[in-house]
Amino acid sequence: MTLRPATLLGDLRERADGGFDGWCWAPDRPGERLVVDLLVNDTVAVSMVAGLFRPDLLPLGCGDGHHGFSLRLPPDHVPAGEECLISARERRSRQVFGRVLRAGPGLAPPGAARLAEAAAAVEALWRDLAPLRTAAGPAGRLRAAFGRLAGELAALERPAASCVPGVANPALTLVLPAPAAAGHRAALAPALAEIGADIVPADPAATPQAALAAAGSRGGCVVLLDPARAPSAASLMALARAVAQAPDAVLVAAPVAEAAAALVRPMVNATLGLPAPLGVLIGGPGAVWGRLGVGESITCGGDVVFACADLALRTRLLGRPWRVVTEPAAPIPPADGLPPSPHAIARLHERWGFGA
Amino acid sequence: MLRERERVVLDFSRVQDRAASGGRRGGALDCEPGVVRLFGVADLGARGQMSGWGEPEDGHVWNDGPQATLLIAVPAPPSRLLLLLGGEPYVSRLRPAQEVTLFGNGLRIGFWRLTQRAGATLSAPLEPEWWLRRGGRAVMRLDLHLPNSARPIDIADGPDGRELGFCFRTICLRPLADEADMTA
Repeated sequence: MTLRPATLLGDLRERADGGFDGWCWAPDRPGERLVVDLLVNDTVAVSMVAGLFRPDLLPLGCGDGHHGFSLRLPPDHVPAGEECLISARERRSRQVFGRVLRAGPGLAPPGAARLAEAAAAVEALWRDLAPLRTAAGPAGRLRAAFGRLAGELAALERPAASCVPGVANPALTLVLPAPAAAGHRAALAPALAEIGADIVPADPAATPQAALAAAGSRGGCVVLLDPARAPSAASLMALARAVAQAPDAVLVAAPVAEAAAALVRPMVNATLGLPAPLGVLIGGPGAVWGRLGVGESITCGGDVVFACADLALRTRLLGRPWRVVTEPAAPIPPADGLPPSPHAIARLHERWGFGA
Repeated sequence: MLRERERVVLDFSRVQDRAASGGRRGGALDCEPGVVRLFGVADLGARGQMSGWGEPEDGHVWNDGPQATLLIAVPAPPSRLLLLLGGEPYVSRLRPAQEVTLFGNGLRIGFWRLTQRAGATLSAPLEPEWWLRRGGRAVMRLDLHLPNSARPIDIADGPDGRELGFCFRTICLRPLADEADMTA
């Protein structure tokens, strides 16, 4: 058998925005700008002269490098909601040199592209921070130092009248809006002492990343967003139990007041930057979650019990495991797509003390 | 006084004379419907660019002056086509907008006011009856009026002495059913 020399070289890649980039060059026609047909399931959707300059072709010896193309499929050429095969074919020789399998226009809605971009950025940040996550060595000491510094900074932010010594290694850290933090600290002092919890105040006028980072560097992190109401001691104990069960979890426990709705979204976004493999999002008036557009939710009597789909989706995108923390005494059904039973929802209300 | 359409025909004669005499710009630009062509040295070069154009560059060509004329041709008889011109307007602080008026064989077929220095696609439908038949081809003279074209050197925006209005990157004639922008 004799191998025929390659008569066509090329490549086809899909971009994050749904368009296609590629190149095509024929060694036996080195100076020719080839016409590339982009086919959707064997039907020509769009064609282009491959004449864009690509510097990466020069080292490959592909002519003068002007053999690239960049195309976007017309929307009406992509079957809605169906898998389709995108092929790149050189018109004259009818040789196919690249294929991409994708599933209809649903793969490239504007939101999904932006979400994928954001997920990639967060993933990159996560990788960059990897050395800081290890406990041993200089990086570990740096992390500990950062934690101490964050604690000191947080202590400086507290009003002097209600300032109590920060807990060295809190089992639980609450992030509360600064104006409410002082009052809550005083009201919750016994419970905080009992469970070894601490409060980090967050500036409600600024993004909560700094406060979350400070809390995240200190231990289990619970974010309470209601500036008008102190969490009850029972709620606090329930949260402590949940955190003890999953010490690396970031919990966004949100008995959300209408006035605090604007804080929820940045808080939820900020939790994604924390080094936590788990995420839980619990509770709050349904109207607030609905207005925020937080994914799917499971409602009970007008209150959203779980509104975790948005966070779950993003943690999945980051390749991080996801589950709902459960209480041993009354397990909450995991977020595996099955809604919890009414009994479990009622028990959740009762145990966690959340609700409108 | 000649009617506009007659004037266009006469202009075509001059254009064809110029092409026949080996003019640098050559004859009409043959467009295959559905294929995106690239302005600039790699693909189109100076083809079809009769007047008012700068030198073709890498992946693009600028207009040079307030009017640029492009002569295009398709196999006759033409169907209903959508003209898509992709590129980027020359917009700067001192030249905050570019206005583009497109005439096809003397008929006003499009107007755009571009205020963002970003990729833009000028699209205009071309009806079959607007084309002029020349043998087996249908030809159209596209006149682009760019009254806001400016020389960068005059507005302290660089040393370029050309009168720039729009940087042309791609051209495509597509069946009118597909009105979306195809190029990236």
